[in-house]
Amino acid sequence: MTRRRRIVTGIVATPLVAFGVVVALVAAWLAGFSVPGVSAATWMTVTKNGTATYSPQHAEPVFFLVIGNDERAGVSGARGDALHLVGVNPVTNQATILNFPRDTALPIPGHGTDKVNAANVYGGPRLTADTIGQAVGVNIPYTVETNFDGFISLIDEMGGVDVDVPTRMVDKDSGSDFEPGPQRLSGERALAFSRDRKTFPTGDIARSTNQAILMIGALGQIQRETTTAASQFRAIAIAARHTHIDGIGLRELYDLYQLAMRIDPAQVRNVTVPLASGSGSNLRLTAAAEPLFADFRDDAVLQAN
Amino acid sequence: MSRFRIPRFAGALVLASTLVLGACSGGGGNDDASPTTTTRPAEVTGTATLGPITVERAGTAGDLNASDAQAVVDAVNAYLSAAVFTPIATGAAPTGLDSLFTPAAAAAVANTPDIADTGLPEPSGDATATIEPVPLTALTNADGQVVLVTATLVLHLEVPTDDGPMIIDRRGDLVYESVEGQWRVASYNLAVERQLPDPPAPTTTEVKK
Repeated sequence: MTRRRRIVTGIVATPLVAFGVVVALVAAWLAGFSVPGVSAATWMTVTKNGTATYSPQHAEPVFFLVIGNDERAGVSGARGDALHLVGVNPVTNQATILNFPRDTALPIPGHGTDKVNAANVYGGPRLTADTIGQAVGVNIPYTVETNFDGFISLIDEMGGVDVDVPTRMVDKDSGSDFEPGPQRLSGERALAFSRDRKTFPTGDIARSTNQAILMIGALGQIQRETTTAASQFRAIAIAARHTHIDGIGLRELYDLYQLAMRIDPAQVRNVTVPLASGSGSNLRLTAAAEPLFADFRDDAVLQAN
Repeated sequence: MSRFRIPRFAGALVLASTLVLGACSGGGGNDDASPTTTTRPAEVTGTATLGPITVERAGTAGDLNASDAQAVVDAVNAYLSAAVFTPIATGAAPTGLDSLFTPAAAAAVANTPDIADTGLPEPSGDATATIEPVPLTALTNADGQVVLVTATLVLHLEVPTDDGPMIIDRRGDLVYESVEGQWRVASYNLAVERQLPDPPAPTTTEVKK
């Protein structure tokens, strides 16, 4: 009788790339390019700051900023109310999300110290990236910005997003009404989950953490649902038709997608920057912020925090 | 019953020694040299053919033309020949992979030996792989230009060896990018399953005091 040895080898190669969690939410589903002649809602805007191009040989950490603005019917100004700095280490495939509550007081280049969400009004995603990048001490080459309608459309196109709701949440202003536990949220419900701050004693701080939970959930979902190159091409193409991209090519987005596919969602660190009360609703970074930023900026991985 | 097999490198040494000795003795006066017999490497072959083409468009236009589609399939065949068929047939390490991959992908290949079928038992006969028609999916940008093409590979190969059949299944994606007019592998996601025959049972000697 013949005994057979069975060797199974899975290779997930790819000239690696770099991105992070939002990269998953974004690069995966959102590529960009405004497409003339395509009459569809714009889900988001992807902007490149500077000229550096991510390539698979990249070994340095890559940072990008995810901005959810409050632009919607009756509200103009597009303040950056959801702000998440994502760092990805393309060597170790680890990612960290630093959440900046909207009332965090930071120096905004050319505008003095103000709430960080105002930077988006003053100078759009680039100035917001400069503001947060300056605070943390990193260069942020990519920003991804969405608004209420874009966020809902994006999540609905994905067929909803899987989220592990951490606690009972009820808030009529945001429309939040969730039992704790894993569940798939539609675009509307995902927006309610992301907006609810009144359920929590810590308000916007807890909300920021929840927004990152949603991004991590989306990353895992994208990884599970786009396992083949063909399905990834399809996701990128669909997203591209609904995204305005400034300065990034499809090839680079594909590379970033590949990096996002390698990040283990369960290992993504979700950290909200340490804050203390300040004047009015301006929240000041505490002394613990700088050691945190130093730990983060060298390799996008938190070793001491 | 298992048979003792000469390891491949040892066989190569024997063959080389035979050739050297033969060459040295060629200076003799006997012109009626008897015909020499050499061990022919087994032929391991297979040909991928073009399957259906799908185009994912980031814009409103864009197609993969027939010549590019065939060129991608030709590149798949070049990869299979260099990384799978030749190494199995000859036992030699794959050569020329650098020219089949983009520089970035080639760097990754160096650390992923499973991209090629090396170090496997020596074939005892010819084999032909069964390869499903290769579907291609092209990604085109807003201008309609092809950015990447993925070729989905499903290969089944049964190779006879002295110890029984060796079965190899490869499936997954090879993602191609045009580099200076040549389609090269820019990334890949391949799963390889190998069922190897049993090695010969070790010979043991019982010693009695």
